[in-house]
Formats: sequence, C-alpha cells, structure tokens
Amino acid sequence: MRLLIILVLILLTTSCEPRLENNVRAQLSARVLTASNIPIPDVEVTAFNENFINIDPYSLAKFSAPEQDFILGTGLTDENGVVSYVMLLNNNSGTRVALLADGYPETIIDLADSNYKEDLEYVLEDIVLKKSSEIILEMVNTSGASNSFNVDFIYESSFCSQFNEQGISEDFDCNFFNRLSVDTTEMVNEFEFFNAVYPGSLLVRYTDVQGNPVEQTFIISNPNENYVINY
Amino acid sequence: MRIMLSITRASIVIFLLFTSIMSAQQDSLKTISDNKEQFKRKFSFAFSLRNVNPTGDNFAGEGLSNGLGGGLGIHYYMTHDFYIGGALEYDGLRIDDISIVGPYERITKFNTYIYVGYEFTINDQFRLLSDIGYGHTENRNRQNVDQGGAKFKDTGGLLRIGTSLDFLISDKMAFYVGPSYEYVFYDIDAARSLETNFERGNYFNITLGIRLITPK
Repeated sequence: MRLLIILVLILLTTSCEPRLENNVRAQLSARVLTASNIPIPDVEVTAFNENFINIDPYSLAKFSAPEQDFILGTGLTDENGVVSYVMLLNNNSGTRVALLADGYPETIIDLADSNYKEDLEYVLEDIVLKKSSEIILEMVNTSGASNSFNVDFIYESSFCSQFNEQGISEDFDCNFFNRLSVDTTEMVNEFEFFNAVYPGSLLVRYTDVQGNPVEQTFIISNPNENYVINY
Repeated sequence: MRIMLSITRASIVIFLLFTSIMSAQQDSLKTISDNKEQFKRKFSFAFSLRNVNPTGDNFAGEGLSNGLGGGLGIHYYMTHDFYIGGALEYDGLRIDDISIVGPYERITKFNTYIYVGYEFTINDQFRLLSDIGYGHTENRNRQNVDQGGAKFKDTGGLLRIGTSLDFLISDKMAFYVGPSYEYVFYDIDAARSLETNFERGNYFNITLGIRLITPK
C-alpha cells in the first residue's frame, strides 16, 4: 500500500511538471529611457510568466518574487538603453516584463501575446522609467475651521501596471487615489506619500470652509517634496 | 525542408560513391586467407559511450557545452559486409550561453534512427564500418530551480554519418572507436532574426563501444 502511494505521488509530481511551449524561440527587444529621453544602462529586463498552479505560492515559489515564476528571458540594457535577447514562451498565461534599475521602483509591463505570436518579435517601444518621490504635505488650519473634512489626493504611483498593446506601453492603472480625513482640532495635519513617482504631479481636492470646491496641483520633480496647504 | 532533402540526397550519393570505391579497394586489403572459412554473421549488438561536441555556426555550436552520452544499436547483415540497423542514443548537455539559446540549464538529447552501412575488412583483427542514418532527435530542455524549473522540447530530423574502427577479440566480440557527425534539422519556430540560428544543429561525436556478434 505504501509503495502504491509513493508511486502515485511520483506520477502526480511528474505529471504536474510545468511546461513551456515546445519548438519556439521569440526575440524580445526594448529601449529604456528616463522621462527626459536619456537612455538608462544596466536595467535588468526580465520576461517572466506567472504560475497560477501553486496552492501556496509563498512556500512553493521557484523565483525570488512569488508572482514571477518562469523566467522566459533576461538581459541588461547597454549604454544606449537597449536590450535584446532570446525568449521562451508559455501558453498557459500571458507574458510579463519586469524592469529593475538602481534608484527606480520596479516596473511591470503586461504584454498582449496575441500581438506578437505571429512573427515572435516582441519589440517594445521606448519604456520610460520614473524615480520614486517621498512627499510630505501639511494642511494648516489658518481659518479656524472646526468641522473635519476629507481631502482627495491623486498622483502617479510606482504601483503601476502598464499594458503593452501593439508594441506601445500604455499606463493601465497608474493614477493612485487616496482619500484622507483632516482633523481640524489639530493645527497642522501632516500626510506622507511614499509611492509617488517623478516627474509627475500631485492633485489635491477638497471643499473649503465656505463650501467651495478647491483643486490644487503640485509639480513633483524631486526625490523629496514638502508642500503646505493653508485652509 | 528543401535544404534537408538536398543534403540527404547528396549524402546518400556520396556514401554510395564512397562504398563503391572502397569495395573495389577491398580486394587488395583483404588478408584473410581464401582457404579459411569465413565466420557468417547475422546480428551485431553495439553498446557505446560517447563524447558529444555541439559545433557549427548555430545555437547548438555557440550556446551548448560538450557532453557525454551513450547508445544502443543493432544491425543485421544483409550480406557478409552490407548491413542495416537501428539505434537509440542518449546524451547529456549543458547550456553555455543563455543569451543564445534561452534561459534553461540542461538538455537531455535523444536520437532514434535507422541506418545502412558497409563493413570493410582490413585484416583478421581490424575492420572499418561506415554507415549513414536518418531519424528523429529530441532535445528535452530543463530550467533550473531559479529559472522556474519548467521543461520543454526541441525536436527535429536527424542525418547521421558515422564510422568506426573495430578491433576483434574474437569472431563474436569487438571493441570499437570512431567519429560520427550529426546534422539536425530542427522544427523550431523562431523569430525571423533568429531563424538561421535555430534551423539546424551540428554535433561531432567520438564513440567508444563494444560489439557483440551473433552467427548465422
């Protein structure tokens, strides 16, 4: 009986082995730039494929990040910000590309495989990387307002999904919306945001004590920004 | 496919030409006494070890490392010198450069083919075997754990030309050594910029083996 169980386990283990697509080699090429169109060298560009089979991805993951399972191809950008390499394919789920560079938050791009399957040339247009910015914003009660109110903050976040359609990367869900409450009993309310990127902007929306809607935009252009709003 | 056919035809023509020339020369090489009764062979079973060297201007030659393998073969003597047979081979190879072949670590390569050949008798102890075969090859590729541990295959047609020098210990047993050359026509569907690199692979092998011969 024990032997039978062991045999069944061996069979199950081997039959569940993950497979990539047979007899296929694609080519991925991309150029990575800053927001001011300067090429970024030494960016690690990794094509990967998520594994949805894991019951507990944190214990069974085969790659450093649990959601990045099968490495389909990897390479570093040269001094022109260009990378090109042989890529494997997996039919089970879509291909994603992770970009890792010093001083930049990780960027993930989803690729629409159907666009590339025909000629197997995964040519990505210029990919722009933005740096992280830590923002501190102070709301100062100068009007003597006594009723607490909500403030909306909208900014481009590093927790951003991009989707690549026809070779062009498009922002999919990069604008981060955050609604926070201002406690008017405090003279100064301080808010911190750690996942903003620059160059970019921070839009602040609230209703002032007279009941007028207020919109204020701050330009984010440094790794650390401090803004003050008097209400 | 057209290239594959033309190479196959050219190889067969060269082989037939070669065997006819060697056959003509064979009479002068024969030192076996005409009076001695010749041992009539029926089957030959070969067991071999081999060193595999990917070569050429392609993904195998540029991206794979040398490896070791083994094989089994059986051939049947149609006449005293002319034989047909089949063989299975198994080789282990590793990846030298993932930027050329893709991110995986090792390959188990299987060959199955049939062949025709001719045996030249040099003297009582030495014989030269030369054959040409055609069949199927399969590279079973595997990633390491860090790469995800996935598996996939590269398959293709195989044209193999081989020769060996046999040292006869007795009429029924021989040790042999010899080179062989494999020309693989891979079925890999590659991006246009990679097509020439992945359409074929060449392997040069040095084989060491033992042959057991059964009488008629």
